[in-house]
Amino acid sequence: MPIRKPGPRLMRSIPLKTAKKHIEKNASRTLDVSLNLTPMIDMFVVLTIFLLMTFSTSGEILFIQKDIELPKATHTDELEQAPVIIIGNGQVVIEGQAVGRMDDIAEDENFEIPDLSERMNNLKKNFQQLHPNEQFVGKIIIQGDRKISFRVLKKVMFTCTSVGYTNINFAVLPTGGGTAKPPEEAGAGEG
Amino acid sequence: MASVSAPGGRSGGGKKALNVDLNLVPFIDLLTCLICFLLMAAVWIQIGKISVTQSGQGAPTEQTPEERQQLNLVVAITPQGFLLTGNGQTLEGGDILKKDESYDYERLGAKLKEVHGLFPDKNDIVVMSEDTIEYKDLINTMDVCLANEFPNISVSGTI
Repeated sequence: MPIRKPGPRLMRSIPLKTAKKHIEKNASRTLDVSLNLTPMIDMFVVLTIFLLMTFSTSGEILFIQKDIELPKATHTDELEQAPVIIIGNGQVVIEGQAVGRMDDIAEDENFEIPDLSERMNNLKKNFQQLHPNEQFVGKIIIQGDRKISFRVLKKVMFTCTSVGYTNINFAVLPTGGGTAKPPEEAGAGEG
Repeated sequence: MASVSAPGGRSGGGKKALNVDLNLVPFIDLLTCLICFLLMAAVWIQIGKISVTQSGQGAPTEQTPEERQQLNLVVAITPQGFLLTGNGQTLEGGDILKKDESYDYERLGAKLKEVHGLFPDKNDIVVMSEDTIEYKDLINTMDVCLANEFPNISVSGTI
């Protein structure tokens, strides 16, 4: 018996010839199937409208670390871009760089935190060099854990003010129910 | 694919089919791109802010007679409760003690509302805090001040 090269097979038990015959036998039946796209388009439109409604032009200003739990408040303003000081998880961090441990800062008798002051001075100089025609407003965001003590917070605030960052903003999680501004619209009697 | 069908001509010459297939592929492409962009740019956690200034900074300035007549309203947060003072004097009912080991924000709110009723033009307040007070209690107190139409909040650590 001569040795032959095996032909292509769909499966081990079905030779390709059999499958071809089967298709040819039913060739009159069309294989085109129209997909109903209407529900998918409906879903896309609803999703697009929802995402457009929740779209924020300011983008993500703060990245909440998993160890830091922000306090909640009802009367809040919209957060604006500014340097961020993170107080929590045992240390004080400005723009991603640690400037001291919370325990050391709390025990220190001085009100001013030297490393923080130096970093903030650099930030201020950078801003003034990059924006020579703009007035320095001294805006800063403090992102603190809800359980930190006021002893550390007041030293951070003191350092901010002494460098020139007098416009201090506390980052909070809004719980709904009101806005801080304008004052005449603030919900009287709430809270 | 979506199709639009229209009735044929009335004069009997409607042999030509009026069914038109709408090409939805570009529309689906556009929606898919838009959804991808919006999902990537979406901000899932909304964060707000409470603006404050730190009081007691710099050299003391000379007060004008008008400034002396104005009420200098201070809310002090102590481990025992709140102390509401005006021009250094404790206001009537301004000693608000803790209720069930938690601060009585309702009473503070009611008192601030009463003060605002007496001084409708007043919109500034100083929040003083002791060193041991937690940040969340400070924020809650400032939230009550904002709710009762005192938007200009100064924070001080001196008691």
